Amino acid sequence: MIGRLKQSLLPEKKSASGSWRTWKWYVSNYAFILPFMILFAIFIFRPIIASLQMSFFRWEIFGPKPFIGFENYEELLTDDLWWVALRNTVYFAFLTSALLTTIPIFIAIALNVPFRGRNIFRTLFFFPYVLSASVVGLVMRWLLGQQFGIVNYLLGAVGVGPIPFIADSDLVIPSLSVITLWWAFGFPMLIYLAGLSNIPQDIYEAARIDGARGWQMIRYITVPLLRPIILFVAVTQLISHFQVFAQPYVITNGGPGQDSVTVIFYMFRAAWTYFRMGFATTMAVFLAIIIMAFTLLQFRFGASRLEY
Amino acid sequence: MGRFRLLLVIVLLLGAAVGVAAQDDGLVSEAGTGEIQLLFWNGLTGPDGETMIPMIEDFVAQNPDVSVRMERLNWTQQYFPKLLAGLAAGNPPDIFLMHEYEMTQFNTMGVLRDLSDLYSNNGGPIPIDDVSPAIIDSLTDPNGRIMGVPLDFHGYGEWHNCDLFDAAGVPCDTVATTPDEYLDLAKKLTLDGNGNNAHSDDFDPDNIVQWGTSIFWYRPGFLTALAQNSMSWADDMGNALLEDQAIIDTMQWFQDLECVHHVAPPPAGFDRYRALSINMAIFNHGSWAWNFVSQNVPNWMALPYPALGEEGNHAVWASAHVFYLPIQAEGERLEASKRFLAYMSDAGLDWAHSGMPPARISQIENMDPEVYPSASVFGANLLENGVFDRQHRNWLEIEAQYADAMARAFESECEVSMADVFPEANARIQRILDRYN
Repeated sequence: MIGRLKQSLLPEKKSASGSWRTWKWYVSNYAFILPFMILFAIFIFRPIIASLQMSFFRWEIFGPKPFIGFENYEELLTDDLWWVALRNTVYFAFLTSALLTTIPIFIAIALNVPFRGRNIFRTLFFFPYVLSASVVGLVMRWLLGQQFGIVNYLLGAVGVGPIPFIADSDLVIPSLSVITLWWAFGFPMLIYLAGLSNIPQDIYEAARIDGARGWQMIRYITVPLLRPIILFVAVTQLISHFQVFAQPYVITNGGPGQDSVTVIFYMFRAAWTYFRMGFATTMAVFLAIIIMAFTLLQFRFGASRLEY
Repeated sequence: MGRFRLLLVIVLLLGAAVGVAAQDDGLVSEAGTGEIQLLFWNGLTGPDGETMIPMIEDFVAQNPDVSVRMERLNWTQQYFPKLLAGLAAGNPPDIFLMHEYEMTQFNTMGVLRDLSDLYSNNGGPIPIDDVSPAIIDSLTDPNGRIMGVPLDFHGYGEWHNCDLFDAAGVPCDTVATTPDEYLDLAKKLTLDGNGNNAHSDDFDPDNIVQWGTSIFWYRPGFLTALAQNSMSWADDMGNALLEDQAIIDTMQWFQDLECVHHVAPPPAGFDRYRALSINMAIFNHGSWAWNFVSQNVPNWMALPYPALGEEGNHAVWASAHVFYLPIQAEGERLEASKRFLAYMSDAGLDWAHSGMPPARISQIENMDPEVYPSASVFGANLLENGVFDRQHRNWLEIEAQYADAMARAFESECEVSMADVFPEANARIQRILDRYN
């Protein structure tokens, strides 16, 4: 059956009519991906090229747009706020990615064990992920406010605080990370659950016969066999959190001072408050290079062949 | 798995419902059923926006051929991105509200319509001699065109909490006339939990229950301080001046109110500031605080901002909400928009119920202090001493630099001084100024 399927999917070896059939095979396959390619070209590829192009101009939406060579790049490299934003972004991205790569593994393992009400817990853990960033931001601002926040009210009842979670220079990024952990937890958990369901049960049974118990099975079977999934989660989380915007935008507006200004936040401000599209796209280009570099490093040090 | 999917669908629906509920902030209002539909955008998200709603209802009642949809958006985070996108896409609102200081920036972009014909010197309905000359100047471009119609003439001032003055044994109408007098007054008004004021040797700065004064919302306070010392953040030659030691010292004096003298609380965000204001004897804020103060402070008094700079220099930061029309406006919608602007100019006393003094001189002069207890005080002072900020084609970017610098210092818990932040802000402003020279 599989052999016949393969025969129908692959082009036949070249014959008198082979070139026609090969051509037809390629056309039909490309036809399937054509809609995606068209949308990709219009909405992804073209904007990427346009951004790169804009970064060499003084592009301000209205008025003339003179070519200025590498001026935007020079300005960015000597811009203190850019380095502050980059430092904040790297701090946030690594902290949040670390939390979102590790903690959901253990929750997923717990929720992979059959027990009564398991689906309800899975749903509850996934629930915050469907909320929009603005909803999460508003809710967290109410919860964590120093004067009227519920968290500080409860802490005050036991004689602690008030703690300036989002108004203190040292606490603001960790606070935003924890908020993001609560909000984005559902996605990696779901990925881990899918990964766990793909680990053959025979391996656990064999380990059990050999006397392995709970933590040993997690350490020596589950985590190693989840490694490709962990790498996927780590890479996607890091890429995603390098682009953090909504949390500082809604919750702290970059403050206190500049302590939660992130790259995308600064980019948005440059584009839509200062109307400097050319300068903003320069930041986008730099951020893309930085993300690419970190992703390659992750693949370099995290990837491994796995067969079972 | 089936149940899981069902639960997932329920969660998605719940999430959508929560999202819709949270985003339905009620800041869209519609009035009238007229065929000419006007779209009006502004950033009046505070209680002042509520005052605008009945004014629009009155307008459509008198102009039944027009209906108005008003959309209110947060000034800094939502309004300008949306406005710019609308203007760039050729789909702007019929009428939009900004301030006078944004005129040059938007006019340079070529998106504003010349509104000179709305003024009496060009045969229009608005008597130009009745509008504050300072506002007219600020709305006039280098070609002599008047690009907007002012809604009000708001600015900075002082609110006294009379109960807190009483607690300190100081008459509520006490006004300092020099920086030393101001510090002395603030110390008398600052009380710790044992009832000692900040003059006392036994004063406990870690147990303050009543603050004498407040570190202002940075920009109005900063611009007022500069104006009272005849200084500015730039000169006419395009040189940034924030490295000037006199400016740094002036602003450091304000930071010292918190860090050295312990008579002002550390500022940390607008919400917290408003919360703390209940415990501030002198609440430095603007005319727009009327709704907040009158609803939260039982006994209060509005007073002109004191002269804390050069002797006798009572300059105070002023601004105006201004109606603008997009350059694309035409036809019956343009005509209806002009009617709307003329109506709003005449209705300044209705708008003054929001606490904002009107833009028309005759309206300011005829405000009954019983009806307008704060707007009448602030309006009279602004008419005499109001000073507008310097305009620039990149004003929004420049303002962010000095505002950020002050935020870094004021919100640093006294670890960062003005001398640490102003040189950097100065370099950034200079770079902006140089970009267009």
